[in-house]
Amino acid sequence: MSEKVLLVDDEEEFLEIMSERMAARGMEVTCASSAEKAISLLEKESFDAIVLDFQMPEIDGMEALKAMKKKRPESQIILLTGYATIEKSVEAMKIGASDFLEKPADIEALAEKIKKAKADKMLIVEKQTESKIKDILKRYGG
Amino acid sequence: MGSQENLLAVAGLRFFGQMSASISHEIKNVLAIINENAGLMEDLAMMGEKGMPVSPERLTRIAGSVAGQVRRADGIIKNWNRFAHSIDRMNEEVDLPETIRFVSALATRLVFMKNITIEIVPPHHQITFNGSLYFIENIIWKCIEAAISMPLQNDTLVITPEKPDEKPIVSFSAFEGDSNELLPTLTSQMNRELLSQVKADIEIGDKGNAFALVFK
Repeated sequence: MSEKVLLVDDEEEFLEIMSERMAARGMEVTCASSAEKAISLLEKESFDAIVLDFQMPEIDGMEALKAMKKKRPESQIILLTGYATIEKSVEAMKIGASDFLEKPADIEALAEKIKKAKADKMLIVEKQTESKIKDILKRYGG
Repeated sequence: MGSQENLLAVAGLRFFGQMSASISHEIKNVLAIINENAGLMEDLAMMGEKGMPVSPERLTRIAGSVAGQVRRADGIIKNWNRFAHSIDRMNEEVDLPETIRFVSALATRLVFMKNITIEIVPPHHQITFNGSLYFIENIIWKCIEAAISMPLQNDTLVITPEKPDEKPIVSFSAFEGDSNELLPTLTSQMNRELLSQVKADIEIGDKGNAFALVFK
């Protein structure tokens, strides 16, 4: 099954080419050119991985990350960062980012991280379902 | 070095660091697009090897995108180089409107990140005077930086260079809130050193929706 990915970046040309290359690798890609658009998309649907440019207009990367995690706590967010230092990315991982890649990124490395994100998300969802079932059984004495 | 000179040196270095960080980030974005174009060409070449047709139009579009990004990077680097050379002389003739245009171009990404547009009102005549170009650029940036931290009407910062009498003035408007709130930032110890170096003062407009950088 293909990975369902939300790609978020304010550089339209980057979105266009990257999404074409990801689609050629069998991924189902949705693009958002701002963090606001991405957050509003998350209200309607869930993704296996979110690839987020960490420095975009209006909403600060950290704020966008927090808002996305609040909307979909199970979200696996991979940061694409232009920062030459990893300090900010490490800080972002502490508040819930799953991984990060420095721009310009290697698409094969990104594809690997997306696959891992999907597997991690499946584990989280499975655990959530298991806990819900246990809860129901407890309440109804099963 | 005295403590005042020290403060000025720190202000100058911070300005250089802030601009360089922003510019290098912009260049990284350009490189990312060029990198994806190169990757796309590799993908298309692999498809071609497998007997899948690759249209010349597709290749022309990729070439166009790369050329566009190279032009973009060239503009960024030209500005960076010009900026680096603005510290060469401590006293020279400064064209004020041109310096405002240049600082705005240099800080494009920093301003864009706040979702703000800068509108520079062209003056009726030339405004030039002698001073340190680098520190004048520095104080103009500090004014822009403070201004874009406040809500602005139509998300637009209007910068108006004028010379009503002998004093060149740069006004920054139109704020939704009270520009008096910016006074502590604009007159911080470091900014006071910069203002003293370029022989200028900060004045808040009567209506409180603007402030001005007034050169003595």
